Amino acid sequence: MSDNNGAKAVEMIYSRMSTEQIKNMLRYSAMSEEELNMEMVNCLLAELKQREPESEGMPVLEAWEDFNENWSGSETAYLDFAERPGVETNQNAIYGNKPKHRKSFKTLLVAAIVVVLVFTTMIVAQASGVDVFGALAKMDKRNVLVWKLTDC
Amino acid sequence: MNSKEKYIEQMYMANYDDMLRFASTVLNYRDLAQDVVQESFLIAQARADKFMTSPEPRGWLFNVMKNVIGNVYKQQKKLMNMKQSLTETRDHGELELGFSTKYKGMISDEELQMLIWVYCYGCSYAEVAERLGITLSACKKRIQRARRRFEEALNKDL
Repeated sequence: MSDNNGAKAVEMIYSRMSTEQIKNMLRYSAMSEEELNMEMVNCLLAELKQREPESEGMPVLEAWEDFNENWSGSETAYLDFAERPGVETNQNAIYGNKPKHRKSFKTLLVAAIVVVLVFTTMIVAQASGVDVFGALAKMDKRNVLVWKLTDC
Repeated sequence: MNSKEKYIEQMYMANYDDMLRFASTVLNYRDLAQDVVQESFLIAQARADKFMTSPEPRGWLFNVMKNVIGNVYKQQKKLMNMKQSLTETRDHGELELGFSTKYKGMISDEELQMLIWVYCYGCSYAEVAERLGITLSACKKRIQRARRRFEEALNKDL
């Protein structure tokens, strides 16, 4: 399977995910200690943009003006953020050798397929009368209770 | 305009929308997300040598922003903990801070108050400006300064 076909397959999988699932994947990638996988981030953002074309924030020209007026040239306490692992090594995620690139792509594909399969199975089970989500909710409540008790 | 400024502007125009979408999704607070994007470009400006020679500048920017987001979370957590030990009467539009923490002298009561409004209550900058009776632009600058001071105070605390 060529990379191009792989990319199309991943896009198709993302297109079947709910908007909240896509947002959760972005949140997870931001909180992970690993460097960002820009192929995945780009695909997720493109899918999100398609579903929610309107951006809530300041338009780009206004934001650029704000940057020049209020930010440009001022001090930042985070200069070392440009030195941290992930920023320096990020070039390898895109420009690394071919096998690494393919490996990350396959991992991405497998992860996306697993997520979709799990959710599809849950929905099918729910539709055929098994209260999967109810059971999960109960389990969650129990966990919270256990957590609260141990916390005390 | 020199080549560095041109490059930063070009990258800003090309990446701003996606960066803001990413930050807004992760942080939920719009103004805070906006700040995170601006801070990332400020870092890119200050580290232009590294940024401009990166073979993947978009990835560079996003990873810098990821680090800034991680830091915002760290500050938010610290403020949430601190907030619990402070006396507050928010209904009257004011936070009366029983302020006797170890950060005294490093960050003013007002700066801490502003950060708590933004980080803990998700107030917009416009709301904070209105409460303090200052312009939006002045408010942005004060919050920016407050974040810097708080970061320095936390670093000294380590």
